[in-house]
Amino acid sequence: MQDGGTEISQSSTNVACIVPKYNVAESTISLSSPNEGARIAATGSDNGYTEFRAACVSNGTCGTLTMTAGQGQINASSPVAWQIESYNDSIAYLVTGKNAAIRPLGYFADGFADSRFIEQINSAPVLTLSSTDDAKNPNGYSLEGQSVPIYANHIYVLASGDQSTDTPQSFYYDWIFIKSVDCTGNCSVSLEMLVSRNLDERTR
Amino acid sequence: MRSIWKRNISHTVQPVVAAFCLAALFGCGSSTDDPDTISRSKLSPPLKLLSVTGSGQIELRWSAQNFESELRGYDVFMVADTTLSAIAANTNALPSYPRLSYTESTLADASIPRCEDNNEFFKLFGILAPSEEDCDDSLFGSDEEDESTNSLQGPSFGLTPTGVTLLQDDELDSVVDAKLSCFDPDSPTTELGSALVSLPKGTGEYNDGQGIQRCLIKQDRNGNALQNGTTYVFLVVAVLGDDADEISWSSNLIEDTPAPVLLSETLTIESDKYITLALPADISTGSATVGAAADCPANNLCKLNGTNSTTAAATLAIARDSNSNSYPQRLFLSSSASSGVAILYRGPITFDPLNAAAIATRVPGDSAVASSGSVYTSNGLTIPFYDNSVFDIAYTVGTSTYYGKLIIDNISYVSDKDSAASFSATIVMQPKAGSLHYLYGH
Repeated sequence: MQDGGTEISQSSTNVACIVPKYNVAESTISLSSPNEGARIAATGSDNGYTEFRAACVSNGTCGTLTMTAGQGQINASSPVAWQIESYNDSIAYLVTGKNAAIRPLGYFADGFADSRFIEQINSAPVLTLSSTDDAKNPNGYSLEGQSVPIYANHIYVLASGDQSTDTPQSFYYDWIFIKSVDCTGNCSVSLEMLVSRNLDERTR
Repeated sequence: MRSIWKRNISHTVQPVVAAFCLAALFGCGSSTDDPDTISRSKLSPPLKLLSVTGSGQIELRWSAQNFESELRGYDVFMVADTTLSAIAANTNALPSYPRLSYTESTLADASIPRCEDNNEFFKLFGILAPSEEDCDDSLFGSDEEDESTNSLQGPSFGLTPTGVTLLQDDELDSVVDAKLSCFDPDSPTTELGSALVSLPKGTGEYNDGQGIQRCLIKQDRNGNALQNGTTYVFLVVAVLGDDADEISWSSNLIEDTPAPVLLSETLTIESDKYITLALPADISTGSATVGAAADCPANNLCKLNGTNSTTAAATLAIARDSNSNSYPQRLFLSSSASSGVAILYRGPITFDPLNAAAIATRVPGDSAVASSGSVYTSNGLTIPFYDNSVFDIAYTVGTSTYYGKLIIDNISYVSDKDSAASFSATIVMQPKAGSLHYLYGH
């Protein structure tokens, strides 16, 4: 009992320092035809996403992620980390290029604020790239170049590595929450991203 | 085990004992058989009682903040073949303290003291010997004087003395008679319960009185095994003292229904093939049937954004990509529009954070997403899946919807992408229509 003031409990048994590991980015991607892709860089290089991340870290915030529509499909050797694609089939897809893969995490009604996401998804699985002759990457990741259908209110981990090497050992693990998908006619996708500030940072 | 204390007192000495109790005023109302209920401020009740459905068993988990040095452990009580809804409808047995009325939802959140106004309620849980303790503010522990004063008044120590009533009730089942015995969830053949408490306090991570506590219930207090398809209602109290003569208010109430695992098999699918998984009509006793592998039909359920147009009822399909020249033989799950089964990809939650080996049983820590709007896929669309994946299943039988899960662990290939793919698949369903809970109460 204190002599005065408010009574308080003993402290918790641990002390935690919290340093932000991610910057938040948002984007609404509208494809201009039902069979095309959209990505950050229109030049076909990965520099757009790399530069975007660097700007996020430098500025301490990301803001809007601008995607350019009218891109062709990418495959496992494309020097593009990721893009949104559609193929005339009323579904939108996340597709990764060279040294990048996607791990679908499932449905979370409230996105990154969903209590299940906070309580149950402690960290992104480790990506170890397999040969494209294999049917999969370990730990539930898609293969490079695979199209992963995206659904509203689902979260995905995007792991992307340095494209200047053939066997990257380190990756950025970014988180993508699909807020909405509407492929009535041309696809429009609204998403929110947690853009990692550091390589191999898998915990949030 | 039968009660000890009351039955060792002969009826010939009852008046003597009663007189002693009246004279001494203290000590007769607190015993192993008739423990006092302690205020919540002095003995924290078990919090957030949850259950993990099993086959012929139910695991209980609760959160504990029992720093009391004399903590003896926990008692678990159960009612068989009933539901919270049925208890709420049984107005004669509802507790009347600390509130006068209860519904199913308020019962599920309630913490209830064992005291004289609530005797009929605790009878449901097998505690037939009545409590003589007053249901009053002293049970809130807001005023220590009130507590001691009240202990000297009224029925608990009054002229309908505790001692006399206790002796008249000596053939009635008491708290120690009614309690269940816990088994070790990580070693289900190891019984943890003692003569005095269901779960004795120990030094283990899950019985130390702090944090999550775990108790596996396999049988009722008479040793009869829990039955699949039967619904049970549980509550838990904390127990204090070497003689287990003081108990806390109850935890919240929960109900759960054991159910068999419908499928637990290693499935192997060759390239360009698919198999079917047919759910039983009665999920409380049946099992899922794995169909023989068949060739992929063209442009159908074996491709990305394909459509399962089969007409089989209550049937899922798992298919390999049929265009191996362009695609690396991915795996897809689908259910046709006419199957009555809707699916939702839920991600990698295939493990129990408290028991990493639980993939073959229920997967706790989660509950199904309610089937409404367009959250689930029910039009036959093929959904690719990867290692360590869970799908919610919403299975409609008549006008009822049953929820469950398909759990897939790591996928292995004999050699390259065109070789046979193998993975373990588990299907569990909640046998109560509309129940979203794998970990009930979450």
